[in-house]
Amino acid sequence: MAAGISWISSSVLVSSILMNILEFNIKELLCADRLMDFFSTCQEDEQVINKGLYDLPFVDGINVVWGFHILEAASKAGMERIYCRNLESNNLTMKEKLETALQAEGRADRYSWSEKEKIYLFIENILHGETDERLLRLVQGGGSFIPSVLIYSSLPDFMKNTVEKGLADLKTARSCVNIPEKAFKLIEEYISSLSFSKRRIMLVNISEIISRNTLDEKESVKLVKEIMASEEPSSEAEMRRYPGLTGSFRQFDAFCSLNLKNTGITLKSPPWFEGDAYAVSFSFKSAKHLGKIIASLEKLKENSDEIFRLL
Amino acid sequence: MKFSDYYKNYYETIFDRIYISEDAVNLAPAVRASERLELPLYVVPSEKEMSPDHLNSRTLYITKRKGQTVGKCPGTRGHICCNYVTIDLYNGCTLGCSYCIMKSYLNFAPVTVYADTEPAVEELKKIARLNRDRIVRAGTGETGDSLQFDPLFEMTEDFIRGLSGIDNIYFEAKTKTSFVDHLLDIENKGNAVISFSLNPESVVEAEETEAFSLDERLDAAAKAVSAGYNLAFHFDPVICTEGWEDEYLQTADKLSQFPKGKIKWISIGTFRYPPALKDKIGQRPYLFDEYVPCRDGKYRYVQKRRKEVYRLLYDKLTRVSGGASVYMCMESSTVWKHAAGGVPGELENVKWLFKKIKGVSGRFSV
Repeated sequence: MAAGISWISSSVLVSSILMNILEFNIKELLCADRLMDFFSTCQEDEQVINKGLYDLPFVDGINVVWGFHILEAASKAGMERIYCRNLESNNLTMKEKLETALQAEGRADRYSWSEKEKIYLFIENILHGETDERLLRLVQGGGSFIPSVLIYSSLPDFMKNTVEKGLADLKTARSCVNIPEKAFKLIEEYISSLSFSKRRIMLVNISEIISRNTLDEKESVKLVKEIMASEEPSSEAEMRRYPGLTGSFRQFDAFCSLNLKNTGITLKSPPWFEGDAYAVSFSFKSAKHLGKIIASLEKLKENSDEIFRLL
Repeated sequence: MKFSDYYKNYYETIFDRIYISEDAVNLAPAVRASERLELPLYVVPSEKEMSPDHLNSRTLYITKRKGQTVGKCPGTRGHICCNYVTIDLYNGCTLGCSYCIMKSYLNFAPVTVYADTEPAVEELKKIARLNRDRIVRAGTGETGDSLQFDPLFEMTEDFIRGLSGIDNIYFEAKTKTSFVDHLLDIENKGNAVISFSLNPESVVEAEETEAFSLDERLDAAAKAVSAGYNLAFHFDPVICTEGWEDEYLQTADKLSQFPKGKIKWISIGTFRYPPALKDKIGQRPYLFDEYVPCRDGKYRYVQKRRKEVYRLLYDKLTRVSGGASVYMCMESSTVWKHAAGGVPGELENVKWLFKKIKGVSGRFSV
């Protein structure tokens, strides 16, 4: 270690902290305690490291408080020693060290779920739950991140990955934890190709079928295989979740196809078959054309009992 | 009826503490509660001063209502409303019904009791005077159970006595308990109605876990009618679990034991929920049935199913209830026509219930 310059941090939160800039052995730092290794920050580029254009890591004696990604990049670039900001003389509490790390990272509202989980576990295990609004705000601006992290932590690993990858929101993931991993793996690729909302609907549909029919793992896998074997898996899941309603829609479509195909008449059902009236619309170009439409409407009238039964 | 050890134990099991707002300290119901229960007592200027650790249903909060106590249920868009007048007396309850719609409306977890009954009684008298040509139905069971905490506070008595001389008002206390004993000896009952929410015992056991059994409720109804009260029943929410037809018909049959003319009305309402409630309900089996979004934004069973449920129950309840007015809660005209043969205005036996009430403003929709 070489003696360095005394330094007053310019940041707001650590403004009162006195820091000595000292040179440290990188290998020693990386081998020491990694208690505060929360962040999945991208490693610095080798050129950036070689030109010295990086933030100085924070250390507290020999333990790294912030900057693992810089140390790892420096090590990769072949450096053996690096200047760090040493906080040792401040006798910081663990909470203050966490604040310093979060302040240095400066990504409030942009942490991944796994980063937030690590920060939460530090708060819980090392700080014994001690926290305050200022600290929480360094992680997430609008209210505490802890309730949502607790939900995330309760998920099985494959569902955590789904949330982390942005394939599902936390609420959907929580409501779909009953989908066994083996079954989930069968749909993962397919749902990735769907829009976010269609993906959510499909996951919820499958989850609710599993709950409704109290399916075990084997039965759930069988269900998902059957759904995936169909031409339109998301429609198939919908149909199995809402057999009555989907049946009504299919019956209505079949009726229109049989009675109104190529007539120019459009028949519209009330939304979700809630109500007591259907609507027809058409246009006509001549008296003869109108006559054809009227004949088609007559046919519709004769068979209409079939669709009134759907209401 | 004296406040017995049974009630004392019951309430002390439910609550850990009592908070009273400063303006309610001297009100009789607040004094009763503080004297009858041996629980830590806190007097605070307002609910804002309550300890954050106490903002839960183990806390009983007694206060005075600020603003409107009496209001009209405004109904919901596209559905027929019976123009019921609601009185806020008890907000929240601890009966733990899985489907409780209040979970998505109430943001304040402690059970709140509005202990000043007089303004509400006076308001109801005024409403009755403004509506001399029609019957006003008013009740305290909209935002909480009317009788669960009433043996402790004895506020229902103020309404029964206060309104007993008014012919055109039916005051209703609605409950899922059997707590009627404290009301039996009131001499002037007027048109007071004690009503019970009913479900088949299987639904009570599975979904109304802290409420009283079906038989306990019916026994209490028998006591109430013997003491001279009118009765009403509410089949709401009807939950279509497997075998629901037989179970609901058998439950409906039990109403034939009550004297003809003493059941004033019976409501039926199938289970419905605003989207926000689904998450709060969790994984109850009935949620895996088929529901559709309706015009008011709430989800209901598909119309075809509801028509079937209502027709079956409407027919049955009309037959067994000795002339009671049977009506559907928050349903569309399509369903009314199918189940009852017309909309309320066309049906002699129910149109009196649905007449618009003057002088009451609407609040929120349940």
